[in-house]
Amino acid sequence: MYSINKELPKDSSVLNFYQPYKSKIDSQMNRAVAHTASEIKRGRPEGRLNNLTADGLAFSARNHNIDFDFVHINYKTLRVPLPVGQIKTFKIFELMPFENNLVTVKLKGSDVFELFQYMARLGGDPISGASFKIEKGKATEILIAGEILNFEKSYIVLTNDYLANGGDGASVYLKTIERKNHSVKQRDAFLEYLNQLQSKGTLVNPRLDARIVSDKVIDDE
Amino acid sequence: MNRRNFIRGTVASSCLLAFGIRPESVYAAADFVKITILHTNDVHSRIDPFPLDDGKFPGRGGAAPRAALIKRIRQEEANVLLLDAGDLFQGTPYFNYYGGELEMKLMSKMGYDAGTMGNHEFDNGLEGFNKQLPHANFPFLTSNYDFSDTILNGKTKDYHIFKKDGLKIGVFGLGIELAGIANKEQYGETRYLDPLKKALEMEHILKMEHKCDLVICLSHLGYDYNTIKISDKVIAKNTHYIDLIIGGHTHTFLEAPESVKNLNRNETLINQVGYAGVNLGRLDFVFERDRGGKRAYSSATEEINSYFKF
Repeated sequence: MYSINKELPKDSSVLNFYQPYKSKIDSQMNRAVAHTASEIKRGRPEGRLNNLTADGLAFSARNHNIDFDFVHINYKTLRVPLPVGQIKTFKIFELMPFENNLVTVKLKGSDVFELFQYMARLGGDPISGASFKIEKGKATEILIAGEILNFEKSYIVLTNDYLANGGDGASVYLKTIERKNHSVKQRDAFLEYLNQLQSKGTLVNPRLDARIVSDKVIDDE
Repeated sequence: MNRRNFIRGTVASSCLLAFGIRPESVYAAADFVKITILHTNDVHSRIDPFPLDDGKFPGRGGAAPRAALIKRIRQEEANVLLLDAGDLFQGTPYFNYYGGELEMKLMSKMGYDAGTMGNHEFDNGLEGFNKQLPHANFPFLTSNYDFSDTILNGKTKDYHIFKKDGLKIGVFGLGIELAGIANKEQYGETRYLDPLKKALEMEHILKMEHKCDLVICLSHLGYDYNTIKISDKVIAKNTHYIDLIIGGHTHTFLEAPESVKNLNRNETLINQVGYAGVNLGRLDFVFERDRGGKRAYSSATEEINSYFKF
């Protein structure tokens, strides 16, 4: 077995061959896509990064005419915090390295209730367009678009294919009445949102707005 | 081929697994044939080396140093086979931007002889892989994926036989079960066939029908699991004629090839060299030309030459 390391000579024909591919990526990866007012971290029950990404996906999904009632993505899909200042594209690739697509899942009201219980057990997940409280590990006061969750109704959740496939223990998504896969990547949707903020000159500065309130504070892993 | 005399012993050191050869022994070139197998697995779109400030592998990997090393070995050795055990896709923006085109083109440029499909080859769906396939000038070996009802029908092979200096080297591929680790939309109507059954069928075809001197399995099943899940170890123990399994998926760093007793009480080797192209695996198999049998192997990098004059 050989170690491939920097002491080895480099094949110049290979380097020359992929240089144009590399230049294109480097220039795009080094493009500034946002400016943050301060470091933006994920958190539970609620985090500024959670709110930024969930709200961002909601924004872009509307732009793509995707019909949904609220957004739920997995906490662990947010891999790194956003540092203060200029954010380059590669940071968003580090934040969301996986090729997850947006999916909408229609669930019965009672299954939406179960979905919120799932989030409560985890101590909170990134959501947008909904709010709830966590009391003794149970979700209470669940509001969708400001209205009390109705067990008789069905709701459309905007999420990613990972959760929609029941990933991270979210098997409740497999009870879907109707699932739609959208050809929009989660990362691209978030980048679209950041671009839009940047084009307006808006400093990225998400707030905690008590969309999830818990009787217990959970430390980040 | 029943004359095969495969000698056991340690391969951790740089010494040849001697079969009574004293270091001073010298064999004429005409008597022996050496086959050099070079291999990678789970390169995961690592085209540039890791940055120098990387926490784990600073400055390691990269297509350009790997290509230079392969070129040098090809100058030194007459019979080289370069193989990959899958997951060439996904892991850096090169994949996000170009969908695997560059990975395929660079592997073709480096002269890969064959590859197999890892689960990440399905990341952009069958269409995504199919689109990049014309950029590969080497076959993908996928014996336990039945693609007949998909656009990949007829575009991959179960096995391929390479002829080197009068020897036949049969290589076949095994892939991992996709349900559970990839989306149905990605693999579509691909049918996953039992890897062990397929391995038994492939080894029979290669050894008994085609009389291959060396049988190699390119596997993306994974090295070993704590569960009953099928793995390279399970395949090695439950087959008869596989000389070498080049593994992937579990990103296992093996210091030296693992030796497993197969059903014929012969030795099957398993090797895997980590991931991201930080290593290039090498195994040399030495055959006695007149008797036809495999006589020895070494996982050392060059030292085998001190025992055999080639």
